[in-house]
Amino acid sequence: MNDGIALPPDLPGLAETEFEAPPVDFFTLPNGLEVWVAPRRSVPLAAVQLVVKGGRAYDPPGRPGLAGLLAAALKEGTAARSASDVADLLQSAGGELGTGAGDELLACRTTGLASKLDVLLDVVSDVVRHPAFPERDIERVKANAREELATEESDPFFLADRAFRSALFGGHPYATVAPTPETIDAVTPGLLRAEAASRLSPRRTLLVVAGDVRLQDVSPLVGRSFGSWSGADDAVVRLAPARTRLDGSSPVLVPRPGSVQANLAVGAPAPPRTSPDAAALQIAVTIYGGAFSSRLVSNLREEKGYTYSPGAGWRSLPAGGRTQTIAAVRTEVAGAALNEILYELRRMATTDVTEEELARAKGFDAGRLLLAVQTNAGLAGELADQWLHGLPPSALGERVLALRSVDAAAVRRAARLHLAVPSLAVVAVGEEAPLRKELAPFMPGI
Amino acid sequence: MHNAGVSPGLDFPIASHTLANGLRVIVSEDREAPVFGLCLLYRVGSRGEPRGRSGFAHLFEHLMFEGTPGAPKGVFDRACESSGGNNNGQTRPDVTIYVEAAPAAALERFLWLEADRMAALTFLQETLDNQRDVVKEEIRVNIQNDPYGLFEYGELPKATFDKWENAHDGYGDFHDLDAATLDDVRSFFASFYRPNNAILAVAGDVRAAEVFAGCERHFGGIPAAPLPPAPDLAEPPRTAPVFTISKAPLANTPALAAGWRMPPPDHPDVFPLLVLGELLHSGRSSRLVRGLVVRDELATEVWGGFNPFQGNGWYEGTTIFLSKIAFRRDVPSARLLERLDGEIASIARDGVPDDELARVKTRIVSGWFAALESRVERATELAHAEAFGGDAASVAALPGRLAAVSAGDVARAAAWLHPDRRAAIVKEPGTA
Repeated sequence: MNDGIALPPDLPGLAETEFEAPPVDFFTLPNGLEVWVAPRRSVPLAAVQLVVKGGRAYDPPGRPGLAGLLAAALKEGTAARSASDVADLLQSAGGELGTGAGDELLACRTTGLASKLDVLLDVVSDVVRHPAFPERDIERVKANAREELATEESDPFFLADRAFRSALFGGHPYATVAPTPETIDAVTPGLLRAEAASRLSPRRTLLVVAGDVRLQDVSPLVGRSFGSWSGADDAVVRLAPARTRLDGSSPVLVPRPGSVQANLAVGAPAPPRTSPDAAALQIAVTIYGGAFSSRLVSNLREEKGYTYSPGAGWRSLPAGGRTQTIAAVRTEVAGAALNEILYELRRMATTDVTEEELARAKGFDAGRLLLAVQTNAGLAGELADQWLHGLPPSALGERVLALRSVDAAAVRRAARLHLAVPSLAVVAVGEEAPLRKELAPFMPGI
Repeated sequence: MHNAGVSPGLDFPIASHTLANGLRVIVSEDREAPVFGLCLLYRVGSRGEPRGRSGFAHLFEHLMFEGTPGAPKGVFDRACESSGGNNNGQTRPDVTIYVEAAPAAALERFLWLEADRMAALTFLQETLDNQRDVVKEEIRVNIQNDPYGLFEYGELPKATFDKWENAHDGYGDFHDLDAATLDDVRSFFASFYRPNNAILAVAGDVRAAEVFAGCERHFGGIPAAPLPPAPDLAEPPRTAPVFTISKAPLANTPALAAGWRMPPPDHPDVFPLLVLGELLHSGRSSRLVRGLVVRDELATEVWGGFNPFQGNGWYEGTTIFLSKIAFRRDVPSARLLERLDGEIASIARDGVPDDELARVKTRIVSGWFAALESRVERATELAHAEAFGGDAASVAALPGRLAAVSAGDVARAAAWLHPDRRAAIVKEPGTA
């Protein structure tokens, strides 16, 4: 159904673009802190990102989502500076403190004037090394976390994601997307101090500085701010691998009274980006639903008008990733939309993609990478993800080469093994009764 | 204390060229990364759409992606994505922008694609019907199925303004969308999508001379046309407040949005108001976070500022100053509003300490740079500066105008946010 669209003969052609990965310098402090520095000149700013292997995957048993509260509590001041002092000091350097917890990483970041890099580094160091966790402020963090959880639970995309992750990963920590009320209630300054002491250590941390800086200026500043940092000595706990496939699964319907749409999430466990199948899987996901001109968007949006922005993606994590299709469709076409999603998935695994699709996806994915790293923050984020997967800075350029060498047979194979697998997790969020009726013909047992 | 105002200039190289048909072309070269961003801005937005056709400018924006006689439906996105690029469109109050980001080798191809759809569109009923459905799904996902339904965008202007142009919902209602015809599409295209109503800006790994030559080649043959008169959008400040509370059945927690009418863009209070927006809303150091979130423990999140839907001083006639506040379930909305007014009144009364003002200004400049780092954002900003400031190079004047803002200016500007001039809407969980 995508056939028959030819590019106009007078459309200007493309010169082959040589991909040059941005230069990245790196060194390691004696305390084990890894430092990656990417000098760029476009704007007089520096992005500082400190990432620790201390995200939700490292939450203690019975305390899912604690990492998010730890990240929020890091903003509440240090031994030497109140939260206001921290914020004002960063603001004077053009920055603002950002902290957050993901599946694997806990991050502390700021972007400010490159001429004030000393201030940016000093504050980030102080925040992760000497957090104060004042009692009264921690009570407020908890109260706001309860409100935020309630707010998130009104968002259908959040509800779909939470149920989807649970269906996919079961009891593995990758199932967690947010704290539970019990986790929030359990937080005390003492618990936070213990968690900070065990997680925030130079041996499990990468510091990225990207921006209008020079290595020779950065390294003494980093030494001054982080050289004396000594954290817990324990090696990073190695996560158990997440499951690589579902052994049969039941579709999940999450009731949301009053919904005027159905939020669908369909997907499966997938390998991390270090897998030999990575490049082929990336291309397969792009052709299937990862770009606007993909099969899924052409079908669901441009032909049927069922949905505004359907899409598919592959998220890689070291202990196992996931592929996921998302679509918010009006309730009365939820069954038809799910049927089209399953059809497009099957087609990826059972027929070859066309040469045109393959070339388009290769161009798109290589270009997407180039565009993602055009900004300091984008480059820092990409480098942090490489580090998380145990890849060196040079992996950026190698990724483009790997994408360019993928062929149609590899795409079909990767789709069959990791994307259009026999056992898929299916989640639907919406008005229960009509949604069940719509989905039943396509999902027996929902 | 670090209170010295540090303000490096926004001194991007800027070259410009105007075609005989009136198309203005702006180029900012930056060869650090092998990519570019392009923004083609048309000077018509949701405030310029016809009465009885709310949402039409946005529906029309969708149709710009749906095929031309030379590049049928599907070609635009394929050509774009096979080049490694991505694209988007956005309908704003006064302008509609079409943006692309791509590796450097694709420049000529994007000039071709943009010129092709400026020259002619394929007007098909089937396409109009399909995109009407897609737009309705966009409205369902962003408005009807969202707990708060973007009420600061769709509902607050209705409460804040009197003139239809300023007050109506740019997403439109389904009745008006259903009424749109192919004749409307043809006439809107012929009236507004002309080279003399457009600005094309490119930033990144390109050469200005090549962009200008490419524009002459691809756009030079598209004829200019007389433009419809621009509507008079100015409105004086409100003289009495508006306050409504409505139930949001899908929400679990309450939220408030307050709006105030702003002076015309050439008014001396514009930059002080820009500073005030940042000073009130942005980050842990801001007055509202410090006061309402941290000290009083009433709110959980604040967002807002001056001219939030187009940025900086880029607007015609009047614009909105917005404060949006998510607050705790046990807090009465009247108490929240009283504290919001209190924070604004204290600035009007006491002014702002010099060190706080210096920090806020530094942060604004840093934020400008961060926004301009993305090549497509830089192209978009330059196109806006050309459209609203009359000259893309006026971007370079922003730090100077910011530096000139005094504590007294900010205190004076706070009068625009007087409670009598305010429109506010509260969304509460529950059913009516």
